[in-house]
Amino acid sequence: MERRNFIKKSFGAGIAIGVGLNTGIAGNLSEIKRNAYDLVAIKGGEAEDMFKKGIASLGGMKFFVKPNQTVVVKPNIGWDTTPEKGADTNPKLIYEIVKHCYDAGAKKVYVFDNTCNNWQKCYKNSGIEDAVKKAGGLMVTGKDEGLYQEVELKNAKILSKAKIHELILSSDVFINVPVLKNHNSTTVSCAMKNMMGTIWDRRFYHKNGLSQCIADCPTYRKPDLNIVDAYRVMKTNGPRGISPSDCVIMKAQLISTDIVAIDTAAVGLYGINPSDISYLAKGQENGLGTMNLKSLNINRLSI
Amino acid sequence: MQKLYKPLRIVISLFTFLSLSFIFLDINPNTDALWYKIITWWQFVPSANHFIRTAEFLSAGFIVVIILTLLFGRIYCSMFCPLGIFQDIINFFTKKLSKKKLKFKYARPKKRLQYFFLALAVIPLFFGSITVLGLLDPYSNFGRIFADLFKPVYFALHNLTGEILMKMHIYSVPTGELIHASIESIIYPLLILGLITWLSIKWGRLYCNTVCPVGTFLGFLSKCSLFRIKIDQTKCIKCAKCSTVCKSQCIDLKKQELDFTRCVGCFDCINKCEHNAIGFHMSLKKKKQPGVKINPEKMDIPQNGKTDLSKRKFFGKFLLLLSALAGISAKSEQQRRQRNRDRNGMGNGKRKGTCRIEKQHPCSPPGSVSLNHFNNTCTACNLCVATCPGGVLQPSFLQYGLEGFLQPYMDPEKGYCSFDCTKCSEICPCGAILPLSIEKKHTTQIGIANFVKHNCVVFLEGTLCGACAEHCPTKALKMIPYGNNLNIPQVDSELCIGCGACEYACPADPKAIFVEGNIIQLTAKKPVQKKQEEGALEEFPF
Repeated sequence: MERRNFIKKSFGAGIAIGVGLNTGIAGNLSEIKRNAYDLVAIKGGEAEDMFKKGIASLGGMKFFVKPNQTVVVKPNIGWDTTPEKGADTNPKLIYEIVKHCYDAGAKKVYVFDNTCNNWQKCYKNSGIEDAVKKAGGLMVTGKDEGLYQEVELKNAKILSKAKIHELILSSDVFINVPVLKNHNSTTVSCAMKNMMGTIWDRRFYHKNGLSQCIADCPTYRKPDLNIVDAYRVMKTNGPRGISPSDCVIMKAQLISTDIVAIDTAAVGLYGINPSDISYLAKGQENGLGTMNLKSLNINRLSI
Repeated sequence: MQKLYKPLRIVISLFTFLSLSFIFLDINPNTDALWYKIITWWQFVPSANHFIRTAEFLSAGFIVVIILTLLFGRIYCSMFCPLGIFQDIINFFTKKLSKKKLKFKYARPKKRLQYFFLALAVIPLFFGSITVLGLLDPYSNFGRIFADLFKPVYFALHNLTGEILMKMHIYSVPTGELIHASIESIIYPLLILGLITWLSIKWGRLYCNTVCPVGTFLGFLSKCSLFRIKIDQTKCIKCAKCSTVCKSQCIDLKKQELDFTRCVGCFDCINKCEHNAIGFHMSLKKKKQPGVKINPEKMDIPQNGKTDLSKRKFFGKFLLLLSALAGISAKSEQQRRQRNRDRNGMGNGKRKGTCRIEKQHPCSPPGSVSLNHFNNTCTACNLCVATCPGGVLQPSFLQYGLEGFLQPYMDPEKGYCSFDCTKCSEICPCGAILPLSIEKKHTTQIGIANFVKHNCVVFLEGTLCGACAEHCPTKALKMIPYGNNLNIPQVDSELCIGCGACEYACPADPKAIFVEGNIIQLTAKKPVQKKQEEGALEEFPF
């Protein structure tokens, strides 16, 4: 018995040392090879732990946020529901992200969403307002047309003009933090769909071709970093959900700078063929990223 | 001691006024409903109404008011009635601003008018209609003025401040979407505001002593009050100073008497008197009222022509107001029909092939039992309109017909009913919207959504939409396959609760989905919940 234990332990230690060396090297070289990984996928832990591990493998938040920069974090806070219903981004993850930004030297971290339900209730009941305040960040309303500025989207096919929230336009760093979930029209809602909450006129999307508008929106400003919360994944009744039983506890997370790639990977996690989701191909056509995951350097981690 | 009553009255009245203003102007949807309950607990008409409908002892604030009146006279009118205090404030500022000194003088009671308005308010109650009482009730009038007129102004100022700060990248004053009532529904509060201002500047508390049914009722009670204001005839030098500050115009110096049924207990006269000749004292003995006998002979004849004239003027103006309202309502009903026709593509609408929508009944707020209960109980104070976080509750005009004039209704053009919100049922002071638990609210069906395929974006444009199903909190609206990778909505009317989120979200014009109100609120089915299988990720699929 003792021998077997010993072997097990030493085996484990060996792996640990190996991993340690690996990340050590990655850490040393990361200054040069910032985008060593195109996509980091993490599974098996709590949202905040997965994020810590994932962002560390990319070399830490300091590669995305430089001292004295302003950061805007855009979670999904669209619905006035509690965190266990999985309609909004996990507040613990948001807390960790805001904290990491400040640790990297950010001057200010703003968080907002153009919510579907009453924004004050959404902010409060989703737990995100409390999490952001605890981490020292600032919650900003997304329900004031005066905060949106009209811009021209030159590369867009339908959404050629849109009013975009001034924080997206003015902040140095834009971090997109969607929650992966079911959606009654587009089947899956994730990173590109989450960008809908940075635009004033949501009805325009529905009126004029939802999928194309979803793919058009990020052409103005692509997020500098996307973090997909797939800890609790709503599989039915989306995007709002009815009860916690609509969700599965998937315990996964994705981090990438490529919004199409991260959505393609997320759709894979959800269990659907990416070619069935029409806005992915449209996004690739708009030059937002690639759907070909095989061409990417993916770091797969588990906790 | 006698001189302390007035400051005490001012402190209490300011407290009442500020707290009531606060709940009507408050823009934070997360304020605890308990505050609303405590602050409106004293209000006579809502409280009495609530008690009569529900026999809930906790809502019996009006009993306290009755006891207070039996003890001290109509101090309610000066300390707890927001409209009364509002008139005092108007008076205070006009006195400050005007160069000429405003002075009141004694006026004969307008008994016949008083009884006329009391009858106007009370008689319909026996036929189950509360509309007229609601239109005359001081608290409800105050509520309508604040909710429909002042709140949008306050909100706009708040937004302006917020926007200026946001220009400087300070986001601590969050702005919000300004939702205001329709033009036709603010006509009445606007007229009342004008009337109140005019009357209070000219004749002090004439509204309270003539039109207000609460004032008249409490006036009856004050006949047997324990404490009353009395003039000490031995000390009085008839300088008339008390009479000039009496906004109730009830101090008759010729007889050195005070008509206590009209006195609102402001105690201004006590502080004005330099000879301590007027005071607030206990009077256990039933006094013989010498005035009663003399009154008809002495008072009626000399002032007859004068008073009749002012009466007639006043009466005339009020009737003018009523007939104007009737005229406007008829006109706007016509316009509404025309608008509907235009919007629905029947007139010169833009889109062809779309269908017009005609609603039979509006939705009343969840918890209001039935249209009948709601129309017969609501005094239209519009507290729920001011508070509704979704902005869906709006004062109606004739949506309910005349019996529900100005009562709040669900207007899906302005917003929709939040699934997890029971605010209006928690705060309703008059029992028109009864309390609902959150579970009960989730299945309370106030109306049913109707899908009009011919107006739907999916049908007309052939693109994905689903905005309605996205917003549906119970998934009564499902997207079903419609060929060519498209989905089209389908309503399960057993699951639908009529919240109006779908109608609000629908981007089509005319709407492709609309909610038809239930006459009696029903219970919807609970959505079936399938438990998902274990979902922890074992292997990355890429």
